[in-house]
Amino acid sequence: MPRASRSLRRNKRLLIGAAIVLPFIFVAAFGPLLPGVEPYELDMRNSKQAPFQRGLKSILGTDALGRDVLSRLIVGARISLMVGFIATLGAATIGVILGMVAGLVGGRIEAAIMRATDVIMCYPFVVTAIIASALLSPGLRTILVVFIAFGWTGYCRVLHGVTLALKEEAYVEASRAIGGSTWWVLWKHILPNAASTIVVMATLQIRIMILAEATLSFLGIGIQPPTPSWGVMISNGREYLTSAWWLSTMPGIALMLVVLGANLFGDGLNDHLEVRL
Amino acid sequence: MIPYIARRLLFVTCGLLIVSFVIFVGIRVAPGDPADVMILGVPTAEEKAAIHKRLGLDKPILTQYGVFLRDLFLHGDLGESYFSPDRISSLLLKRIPVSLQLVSISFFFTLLIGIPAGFASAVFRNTPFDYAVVSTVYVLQALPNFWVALLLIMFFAVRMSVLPAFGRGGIETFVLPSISLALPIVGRVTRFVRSGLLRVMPELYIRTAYSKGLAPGTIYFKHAFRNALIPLVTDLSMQFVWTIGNAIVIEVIFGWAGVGRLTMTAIGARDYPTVQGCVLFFAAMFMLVNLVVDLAYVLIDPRIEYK
Repeated sequence: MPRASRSLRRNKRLLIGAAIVLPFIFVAAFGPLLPGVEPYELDMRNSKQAPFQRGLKSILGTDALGRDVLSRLIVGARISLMVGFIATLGAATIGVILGMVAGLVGGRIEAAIMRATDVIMCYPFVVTAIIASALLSPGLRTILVVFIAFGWTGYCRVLHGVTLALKEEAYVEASRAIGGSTWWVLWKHILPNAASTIVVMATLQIRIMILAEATLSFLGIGIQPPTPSWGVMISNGREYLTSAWWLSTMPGIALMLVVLGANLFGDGLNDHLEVRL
Repeated sequence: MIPYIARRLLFVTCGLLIVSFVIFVGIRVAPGDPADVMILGVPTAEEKAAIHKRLGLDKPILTQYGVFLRDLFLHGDLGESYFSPDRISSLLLKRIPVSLQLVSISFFFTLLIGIPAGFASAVFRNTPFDYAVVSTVYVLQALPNFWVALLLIMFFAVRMSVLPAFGRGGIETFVLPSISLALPIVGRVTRFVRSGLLRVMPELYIRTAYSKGLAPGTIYFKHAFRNALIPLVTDLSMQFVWTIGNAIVIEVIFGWAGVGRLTMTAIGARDYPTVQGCVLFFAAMFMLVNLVVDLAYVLIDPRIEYK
């Protein structure tokens, strides 16, 4: 593993990024379990309240149906972040496995896999995701499938290169000579070397996935209401730009903070692990 | 060089054919039926069958594709929309300039602001100006462009009534859409110019130029920038392609009659021919942009040549 280029404490971006992202992760994981979080409860008498109007209750305001914005933000955090994590995890797993297989096995399988990678990589993620999700029935499952289906290519390419480079190394031959199977070689030797690159790529991709989910949900082809993903909330709030500006603004601020934090964290991690992309 | 271009154009054509096939089969296999959209209420089986027959959807998919290809190559005809009396080709011809204008103007702004900002940031590195730019860039890159669009509408159109929130007409209608589209990308361009320049500056040939007594301005422009240009151009092409995709959302928000919005409505209505036409447009744009960029490399770096 490459040595860290500077101590963790001096890596400001990493720390600031983590400081921003960790609270969101915490909120996403445990927030909905807190008492007083009611994202679906309608309360028409108190609809469209501005933030801070009613003291600690509905501190970020309510929407047109009287639902508490903060509660919806919390539950939305869980959904938006979860989609990002799961999609990235799935894409990374598939890409890493395919890349390693392509590098090690070679021959026609390698050619087929790399050709598929090239073809899919031609098309930008967002447009293809939009069109694909719109065609299939919109929903959480669909966007997860689409994101994973179009997201694995980067990892595959990188792992393919790494595997090709390492496969000639002496210790791989030595492992094989003493009877190590292909999988064992992969696991023990190739993967650790690629680990830093994979991690940095994944942090970058989470940000893309989160934004993509927000965009798709905003367009109506992602998460469907009443499930409060942040993109859905922004879309719902669009009608009330003049009357209830906080409905669209708050989720957007949350989105921006999470992505900003992920960016900082990713760049900081990049520096720390001295990865060359 | 010419044989290279010819070969690339051939690849583009093959690629487009493959895309047309994939989308043709894809939308017919996907859930959803144009008959359901056309008939109000719940259609009976006979009504559905009648519509399928009229649209030619009752034939096997390969036959339909054959008909599509025949019309395309023999008559230059992309078909007719299911939901409006327009031919797809005329629909696209009307809408493509709209989308292209939006994308070009946004990209022009992006370059106009991003390149000088990145340049200045690299030249004055580690000054407060540089820190300000870098921090701003981080924030800009995190902005979802549809949210930025809504915020801009709220401020400039609603609160201050300075710019229109909707529609497309005079120059003032171009401002908000292009800014929303450009903002998230400006950050990335700035960052790339800055890091590209910073990467190139320590190189040996720069020091040689200094020792020759060249003015710093000349050094920056003639030597550093040109060498930093190649990864920048690669990334710019990717950004341009991303902009084309993100334009879809902006078109929907501002109600512009471009290809992106057409795609969204057509997919929703399961208007197969329109969807095919739009997807082909996007695919063609992506491939052509890649081709142009590859050719641009030759201009930037004389060492590169294709055969």
